[in-house]
Amino acid sequence: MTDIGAPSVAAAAATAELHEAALRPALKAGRRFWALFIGLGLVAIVGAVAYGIQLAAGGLSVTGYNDQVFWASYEATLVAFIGFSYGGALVSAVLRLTNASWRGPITRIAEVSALATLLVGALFPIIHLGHPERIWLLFARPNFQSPIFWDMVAILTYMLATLILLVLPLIPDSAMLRDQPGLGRLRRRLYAVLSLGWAGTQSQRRALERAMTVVAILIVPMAVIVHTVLSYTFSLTSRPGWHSTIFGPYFVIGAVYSGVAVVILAALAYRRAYALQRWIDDRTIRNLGYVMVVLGFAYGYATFSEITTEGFVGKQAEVELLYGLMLERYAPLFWAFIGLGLLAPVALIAFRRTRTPAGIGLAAGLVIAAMYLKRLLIVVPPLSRPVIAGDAGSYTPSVVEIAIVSGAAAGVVLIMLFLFRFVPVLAVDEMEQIERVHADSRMAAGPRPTKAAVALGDVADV
Amino acid sequence: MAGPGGEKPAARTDASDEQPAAVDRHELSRRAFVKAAALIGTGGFLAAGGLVGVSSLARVSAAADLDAATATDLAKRQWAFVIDLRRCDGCGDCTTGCQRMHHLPPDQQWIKVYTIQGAGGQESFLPVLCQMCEKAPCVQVCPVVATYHEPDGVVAMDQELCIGCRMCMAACPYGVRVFNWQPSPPLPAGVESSTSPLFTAPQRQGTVGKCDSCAHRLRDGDFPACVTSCNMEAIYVGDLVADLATNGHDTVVLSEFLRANDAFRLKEELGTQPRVYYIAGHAQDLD
Amino acid sequence: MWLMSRGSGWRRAVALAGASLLASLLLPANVGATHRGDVVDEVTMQISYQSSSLPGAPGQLVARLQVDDGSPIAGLIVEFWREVEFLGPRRIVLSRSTTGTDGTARLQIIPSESAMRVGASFAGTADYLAAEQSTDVGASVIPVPASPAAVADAGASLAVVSTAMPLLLAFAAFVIWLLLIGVVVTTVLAIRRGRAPATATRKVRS
Repeated sequence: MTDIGAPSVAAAAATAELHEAALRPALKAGRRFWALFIGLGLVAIVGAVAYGIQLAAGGLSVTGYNDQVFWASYEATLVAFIGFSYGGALVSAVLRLTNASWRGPITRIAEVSALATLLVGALFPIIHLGHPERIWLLFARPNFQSPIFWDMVAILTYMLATLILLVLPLIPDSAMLRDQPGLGRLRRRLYAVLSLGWAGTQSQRRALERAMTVVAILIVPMAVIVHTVLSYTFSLTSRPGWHSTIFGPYFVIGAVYSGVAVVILAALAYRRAYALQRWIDDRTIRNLGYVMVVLGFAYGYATFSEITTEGFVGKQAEVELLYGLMLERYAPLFWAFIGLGLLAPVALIAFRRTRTPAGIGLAAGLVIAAMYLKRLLIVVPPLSRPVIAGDAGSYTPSVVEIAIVSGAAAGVVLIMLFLFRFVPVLAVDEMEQIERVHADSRMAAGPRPTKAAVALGDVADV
Repeated sequence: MAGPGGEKPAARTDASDEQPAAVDRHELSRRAFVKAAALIGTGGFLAAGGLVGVSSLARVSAAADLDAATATDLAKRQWAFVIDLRRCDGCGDCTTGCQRMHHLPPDQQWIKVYTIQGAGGQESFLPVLCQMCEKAPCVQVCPVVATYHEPDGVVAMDQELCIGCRMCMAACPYGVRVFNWQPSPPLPAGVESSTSPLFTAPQRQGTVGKCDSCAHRLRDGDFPACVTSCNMEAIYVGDLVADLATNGHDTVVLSEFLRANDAFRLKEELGTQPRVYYIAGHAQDLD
Repeated sequence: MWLMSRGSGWRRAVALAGASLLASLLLPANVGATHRGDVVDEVTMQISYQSSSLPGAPGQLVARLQVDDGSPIAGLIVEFWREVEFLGPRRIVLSRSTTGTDGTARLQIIPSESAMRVGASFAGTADYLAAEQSTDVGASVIPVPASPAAVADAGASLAVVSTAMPLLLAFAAFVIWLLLIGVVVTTVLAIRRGRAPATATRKVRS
């Protein structure tokens, strides 16, 4: 078999432990799991009921929307959740293309979290419609110039790619784990089907590698396109505060930033719950943290650029918006975003004292909350400014909106919990491949690194 | 060591890692079928995509689904409005007249009268209705072509097609579009329900509404509601082709009237080419 | 009774005078009255169009206001208008001028390539009743070019960007779908082709 290097008892034991660990969430479902599942399930059901209420009342009459602020929580949630799915693209695709060997233990978690957030996020273009039953018209009589049409195409295409990115590596994993002890008949059957007769032969391996590389290469421009197109819903209008050339890159950077945070949280949660520290080790979490910090800087730079450009020239409309955002009406929310979403995460990860998994997890949680808030700040303030004259608009989310968005958040976690009952949480085959390549290159490189190098510990192995 | 499936024959196939020499006939035909299906599928997809892509150019410029003869006939008139701000006193009769004619919900305004502070400290009133832009941003962004150009220049709104995404409201720089959040009050007795984009009553919940330039009235040779409701005779309706405009009382040569009185348009810099002209003023012509 | 008796002639005369005085006060003031003072005069307007001998050159529209006996009235404001059809019959005011000592007001009219109906109106004053007349001005022999219709041309210009962008995105989307589906299909086929025989698998598992 073309798997791990020279067979040895220790290696075999390690492999066996890896296989067992990968299936822990699938096999173990203790009280805590069910408590969480049921609790989240209730929140999701409340959200679904709330949507039913919205449909029954018709026309979004139960929301806090009005003729001035006609886009708010649903649209912000749409952008935020689809942004959260970018962690999958980053970890699974970009890190694969750059040959980052530390990605192995977290690729599966990244891919599943990407799919979960994407599936739920893709519901919101439907939820925010006044006539959702007419959505088939987007296929029957589309306007190819419309950003909304391109939103749909982009999201559907991206969903396909994310699904493929998840399913392809499941083929060898299913083959490997099909005979694990403890698997029930259903899961064994599922793995048998998914494995597609995988035998690890060279031609199969080549075909799979080629496919993964192609999809990984494809998903990078697609990720850029999807969120750029989402930003076009705002920037292809003449509204001050929206009509900005930076929106495309801004949205993409924000998406990857928040996406990495989601992967960090998911990885930490599963690591803690199923004792996966041996594989999802501190170094992996730290590396993810570093990636998040770099993206945070990029997002901060983009925000700074926006504000400076608008503020310096000082056009009436932009100045009003900036005042509202930074000094007046929305100032508490804006500065909360800057503090909790940019400064705090960077600080937590910059200082060694707080660069622990707990600290990084806290940073990730802050980023997720703050980035959702930022999406609201992008959508609502430019709308509350009147286009011709008159009073500023205002917006308060209604109970129905809060219920639906909370239900959606719960739904994301539910989908993850559900999927990991069937899908191995560790990408076993990929990890073994990485290990093999690593071992090969280490043997070729010569003697082991010095003690000093090892003691540094923080050196990311990219 | 573990291998996929764990069965020994797998280890042996490692040596000859290509498919076995003898290929099952069923496998052959199955493979051929799958290949053919994939080819046909992608080919069909491409063809459909090509067709759809080509038709997209036609779609974007499509007006109402009219036959060529009707469209040409309608295009003989190109409606425009002129609002003389020297006469507007901000009374809001145009707003209420429009609401009455279209049986609008009481808080819905299709022509809004703003109070504007000028650079010289003067206060003027600015009625803003659908600007009937020649390059309407709302038409550009509607995903299902529910809002479109009629051949006579009216930007029409089909509430039977509108999915309620409100993208047009985001794109409109004049804020003339409103959304029917609530169900509309029922029509008065004797008034028939209508879904024609030229006159929709009652307003359909969950769709966008806006001034329809009283296209239904203009086509019948009658005046828009705001024109007849204005006691100051400040609103004119005109035809760019015939080069005439009238407020029901005075009739003028449109181009002369605009040139002589220094007409302007709102947000000219946005390039929307609106067909509503304004004559600058601050109600100074009121008797 | 007392009007009819002998010796009531003086009473009859007084009654007649009183009645006619009363009548002249009470009856409508302008019924058949011609004397000036507290009664409004009727005026008649005559309108004529004198075209120029040169084709295409302006002709003259002459409106004359006169009273019953034909004497002209000066100093009255006459409004010249042209009739158009726009949401019903409408009038476009061409100019306003005052009648001269000969009672006429004049206006130069440039004939257009189609016949038009022009007229003059006198709105009436405290002394004179309103009057108006209209006449046809024939089409000019040599057509005068009409002023271009102010229909702005929605030119292509930058519209090409907003049509090119969707096409580019459409192309990108097609290519990506093609690649994704192709990759999945070929990979699945390749893996199936290299798989272990199905019978061996089942035997080992049981």
